[in-house]
Amino acid sequence: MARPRLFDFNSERASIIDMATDRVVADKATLAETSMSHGIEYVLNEAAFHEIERLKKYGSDPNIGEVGGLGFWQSLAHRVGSAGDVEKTQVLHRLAHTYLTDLAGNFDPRVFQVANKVVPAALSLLFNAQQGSGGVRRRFRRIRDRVQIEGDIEKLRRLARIGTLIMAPTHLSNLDSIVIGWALNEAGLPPVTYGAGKNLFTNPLLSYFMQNLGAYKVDRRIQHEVYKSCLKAYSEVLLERGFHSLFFPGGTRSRAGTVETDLKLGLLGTALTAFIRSQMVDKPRKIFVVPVTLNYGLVLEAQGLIDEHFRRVGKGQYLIPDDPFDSPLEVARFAMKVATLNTSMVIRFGEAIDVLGHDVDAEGTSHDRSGRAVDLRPFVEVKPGEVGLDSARDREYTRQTGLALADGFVKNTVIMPTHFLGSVLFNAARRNFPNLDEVAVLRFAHDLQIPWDTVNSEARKLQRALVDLQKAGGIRLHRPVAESSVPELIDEGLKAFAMYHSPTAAEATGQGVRLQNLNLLSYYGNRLKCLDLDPLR
Amino acid sequence: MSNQGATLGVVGVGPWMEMVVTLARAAGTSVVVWPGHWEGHRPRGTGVKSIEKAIGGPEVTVTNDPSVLADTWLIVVALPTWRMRSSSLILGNHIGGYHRLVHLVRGLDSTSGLRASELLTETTPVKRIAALAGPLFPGIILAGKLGGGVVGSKFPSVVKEVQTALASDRFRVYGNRDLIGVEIAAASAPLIALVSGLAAGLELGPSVEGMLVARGIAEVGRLCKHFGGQDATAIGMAGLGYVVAQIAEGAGSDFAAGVRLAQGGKIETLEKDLGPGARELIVSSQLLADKARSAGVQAHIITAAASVLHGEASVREATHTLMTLTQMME
Repeated sequence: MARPRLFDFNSERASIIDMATDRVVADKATLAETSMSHGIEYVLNEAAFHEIERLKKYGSDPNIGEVGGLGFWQSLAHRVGSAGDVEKTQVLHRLAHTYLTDLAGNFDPRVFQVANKVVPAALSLLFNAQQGSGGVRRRFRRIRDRVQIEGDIEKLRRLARIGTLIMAPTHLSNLDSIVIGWALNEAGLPPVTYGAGKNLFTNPLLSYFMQNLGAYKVDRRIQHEVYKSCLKAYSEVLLERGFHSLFFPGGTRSRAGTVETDLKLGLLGTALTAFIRSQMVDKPRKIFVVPVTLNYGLVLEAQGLIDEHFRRVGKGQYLIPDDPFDSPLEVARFAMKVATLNTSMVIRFGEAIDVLGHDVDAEGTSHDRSGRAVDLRPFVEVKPGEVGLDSARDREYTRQTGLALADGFVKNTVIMPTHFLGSVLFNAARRNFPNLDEVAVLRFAHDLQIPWDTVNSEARKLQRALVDLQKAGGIRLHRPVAESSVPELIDEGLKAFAMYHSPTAAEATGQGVRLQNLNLLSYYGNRLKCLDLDPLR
Repeated sequence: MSNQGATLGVVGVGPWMEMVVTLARAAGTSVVVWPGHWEGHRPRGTGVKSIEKAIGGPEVTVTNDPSVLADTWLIVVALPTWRMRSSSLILGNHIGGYHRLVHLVRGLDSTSGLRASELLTETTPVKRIAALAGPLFPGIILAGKLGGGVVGSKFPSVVKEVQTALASDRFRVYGNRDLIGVEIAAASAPLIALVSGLAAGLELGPSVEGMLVARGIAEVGRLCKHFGGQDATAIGMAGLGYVVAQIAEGAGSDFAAGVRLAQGGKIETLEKDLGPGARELIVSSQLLADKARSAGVQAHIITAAASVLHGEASVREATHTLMTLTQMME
């Protein structure tokens, strides 16, 4: 691999912050000229209002830190109405600069090299403990056996040389950052910068690496417009300068285990803006968005996430267990358990699209749906020959790109045996109570035994439907799901559930399968919800 | 109002194309017409000279060369669904990202079930697409009467551009951001008009006719929402506006088709009697009814219309089915 672009980050950090700051101020000034209600005093006042409310309600968190305390914001709120234009602009500039300095990441190439040795080595030691001794090379191969990487990697390597990549993965676990970072390196793809919640920077397991591997800190508590503008400006500037990036379009971990279909478009929109701005200054930059699916056989936080989902949906009296990710011991227990599975997970890199959602070929040329090569510049012209931003137009373009990305997520989702069995069993439970909604089924189907005839027959139907769908390009199947016999597949799923989850989700008996944890079955089975194979319809 | 300097491209022949040219002229917009592509034999009266004779004038250029449309950045595609795919594939070779396409289709593509905007997205590189719909009657516009329509597009600038190109003191163009809703309303409202015609043909009386319109528009709204649009679009120009215009003085071809069928007319002769719009009506009815059924969307009136148009039920049987449905809430 050529010297990764991210290696230059620290030398450009200050100018990135300055450029993003100037952009936030310029954008707000332009908006202020269009309407009095968008004046800078209102922008500052909105920030002060939100921060005062937040700090009064929740106080400040010493672990995460604050850009300004309650006194600062109250003082700002009192001053802003009577301040002159110059002072208001200066205050906005200082505020934006402070936020951007706080959120901007840091990249240390030495830590990167260490991480590339430590992460696989740590995992390989765990595998070695399970499988017996072996040389260093054999240990690396064992990780690779358990974590499969799929997709046209060579094409992505080419695209990374031609333009800027945005990796857009699905999001299930707080392990995703580690996993995707390892996968990128393993695949010979360049390292990326990405936004992560500030709370993760306090996590003892992750904080050292995240502080030094290009992650930028997003304070999810802050919801006002100045901060959001800073985040967007930062992302735009990074992309314009060619720093490969990553963001999770789902925004947060999927609570229900479903594939993301309703995407957050804010950061995705920065890709289009970066492209347009690069065209405006005659330094056209190609930007490619890559859908990546992370397909786990088992998810560390599955129980807590699905419980949270049902609490929100059902408004029931669920007691949410502690997030296991906060306990390093629990993470280690999880890692050791999943390491014994034949395949722990599949990371699949889908086909790249451009910022308008078109497919791109290996030369980085965009193609419309009829296969014609298309020039992207005319799409973003405001007059013939003149490129410019148009917020309504660009919002719609980004929405369409989001649909293409969501489609890429579905097509590149890899169904694992646990997803398959979760779907079979949870739907069998629903069939027993056809007039109840999902939340009610959780209560009434607990301990239900599904006869073997039913389990096998439903599994056969589902397997046939999935194989047909894979042939049509609508989904991917992990090999056992496509090729194993139904009894083998059911057995593999049951073993996987028992491997980590306690109590297990379901258990074989002489007469059938006893459902012990409907929440987990729902969580894993929900991976198939994007396929519209609802058997109850 | 003058739109001097702007040129509108139009693809198509016949009354719909002539209506667009007439509207553009009244708005002061110059026009370039390309008749489009035919699979197989090209019908009489569709040559350049025939078209020029029908609509000629200094502001209008007619050409067999689709590449000329590359210079017109706003193009109205005045083609029925069965001609749209082949013509737009050819047109797509000459236009690009800056162009905007506006279609007048009132149905779904028979082969794929796609809406016209989806078809244009598949066949051309254009992303800025709009649908012009509502109580549009070429005969009325060509006779010099007043009228109005709605342009649906997710791009507000395209709405404005169409309004500038076609609106005048004789024709109002309302805008709507709900492209999907406008298209679905335009595809399904004709079936409500048809069923109203059936009721009129059977002389069932104003209570039934009122009930059919009200409940029919509710079904249109449900379909709009199911497809990803907004249910409120059903009571706009593309939905309710269209149905009211069809019923008024029995003027509309969909309403007339219903009357004819109720009075013993044959489905096979509908297209011959009422023009190519009848074919679109028949094709779309089944597509919409099937989609409603598979999605579990209540659309009894639309389903009844489809069953009559496809010979699965007589007019009286369809009427009986509707009148004996379980009593329900509005």
